[in-house]
Amino acid sequence: VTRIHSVAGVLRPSAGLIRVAPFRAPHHSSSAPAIVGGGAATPRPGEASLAHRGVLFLDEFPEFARPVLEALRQPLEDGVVTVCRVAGRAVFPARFQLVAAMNLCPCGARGDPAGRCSCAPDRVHRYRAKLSRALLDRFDLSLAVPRARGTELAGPPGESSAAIAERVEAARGRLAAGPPPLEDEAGDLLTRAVERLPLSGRGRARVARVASTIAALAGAERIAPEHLAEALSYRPPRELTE
Amino acid sequence: VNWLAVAVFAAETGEHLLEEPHNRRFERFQQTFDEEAYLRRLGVSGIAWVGRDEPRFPLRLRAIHDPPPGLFVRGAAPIALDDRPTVAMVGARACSAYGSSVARSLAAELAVAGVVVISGLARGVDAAAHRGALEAGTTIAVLGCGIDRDYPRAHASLAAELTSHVVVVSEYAPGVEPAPWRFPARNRVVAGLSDATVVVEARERSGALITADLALDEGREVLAVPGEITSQLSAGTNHLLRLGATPVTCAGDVLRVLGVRTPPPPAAPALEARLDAIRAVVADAPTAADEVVRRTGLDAARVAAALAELELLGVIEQADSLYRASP
Repeated sequence: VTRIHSVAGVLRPSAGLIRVAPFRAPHHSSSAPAIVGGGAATPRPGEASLAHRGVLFLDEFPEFARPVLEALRQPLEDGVVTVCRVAGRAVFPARFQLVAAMNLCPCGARGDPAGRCSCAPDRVHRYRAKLSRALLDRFDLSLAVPRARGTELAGPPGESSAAIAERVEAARGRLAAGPPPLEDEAGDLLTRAVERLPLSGRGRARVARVASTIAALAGAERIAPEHLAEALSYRPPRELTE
Repeated sequence: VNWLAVAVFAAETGEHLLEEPHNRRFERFQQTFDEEAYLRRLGVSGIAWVGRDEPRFPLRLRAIHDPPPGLFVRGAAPIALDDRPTVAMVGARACSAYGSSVARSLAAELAVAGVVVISGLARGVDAAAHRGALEAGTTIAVLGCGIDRDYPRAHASLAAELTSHVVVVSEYAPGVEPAPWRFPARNRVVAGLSDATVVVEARERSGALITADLALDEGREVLAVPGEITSQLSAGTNHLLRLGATPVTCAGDVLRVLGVRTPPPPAAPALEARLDAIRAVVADAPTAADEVVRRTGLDAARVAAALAELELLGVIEQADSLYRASP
């Protein structure tokens, strides 16, 4: 990680080795070379590589240029970015966790029972069409977050990150031995989902993986139907993929 | 009268002709118009022509006071509507998730009962009605532009799907551009082809209300789906109800008006108690997953799992991250 940051020229002198997972949140006006790497003469690593072993956070996801979004597909799949230029070819590592946030429509009122969306259907369609199905298919978890209520904002803080980290460590240990077996009923549920939703081959594999993570977090020995159903609820909503 | 010549002449001059024009220009046009060659060209592009005086021309449409000269037809099935009940489903283009879900399921249930669903291939309610009817039966899309155009463009694939199953019709010859004044004219064909018109969601002064008025003018039934009184999208439909339109709460209401005998509704599947508790919350009003967690006091993971299961069972559906009961 330190070497990537050094090549990119963003390493602070005398800061030493980078020991904290990087968090990169580029602005949505960033160009494709800025995100995946590139440059005129010598290829430089982009934000995707700077986020290697960390988090790449893209706020206002559909506002990014389409080429930028599509360029992310390769690193998401392979964990590396290959940049070819006249001066040569460079392969940068880019194994990052992609976190993206978006509104359901340009005005932001959609999905809020109290809000009235003022967007023309055409505009909503164009906004959502920015995200190709192939790209959305690569997300493991998709979650709708409604406007927070006043009482929640004023309420006590939730579970501490340290406690959660402990659970995650334990789950990782459990998963290290391989994914837990699928209960028969959970398998049936997955088959039904593939037919009814419908779920692509990649989508099915993702759901199964998320389900094994959920089971591991719950400390279960096997993947039960409720683990699988929860995983299914994290698929991107249909109106985004249609 | 050569109705095809009238229709093609109207396309060239940009007029809306319902009768044979008596002027020099039309006479000259008719002398040079090669009907056979024109029909051959239509045939090559998979388009058929049904003149107003032909027996295949739908009886209901011939009965209105301003029938079109004829219909250009694209699609596999011939139009044999006369012995089947037909229902127009119209509504707002910018409809809510409620409107499109109601339109879709109503259209599907009507199609199952053998009803031909007719609409205008517009966004929103129209598209939902076509899609719903396609799941189970026959639907006809009436265009407000030339038969060779796909308008709106976003529905080109829907139109292609339609033509591979059923029918797209237009009174306009190939090449006629969409124009605002042609849509009310299109609506009269939608209403004219139908025994009854169902308005799903409409603002005040909406095109769907024009269709309803046209249907009333021809003595056809008008039905409306009630909506929330606070929703502007339901102002038009609620207004129709006040004027005496039949309210629609299920496909059976429409079928009763048509005099179609209704099969008994299938018994709702019994749900496990944990799923039913969550279904009950969602059934009251469209609800976000977080809200369900708050109301039931259950663990978020359990709620997410139950919602996914209910969705798979077809009991609830989700749009814009809100869950609601399937109609």
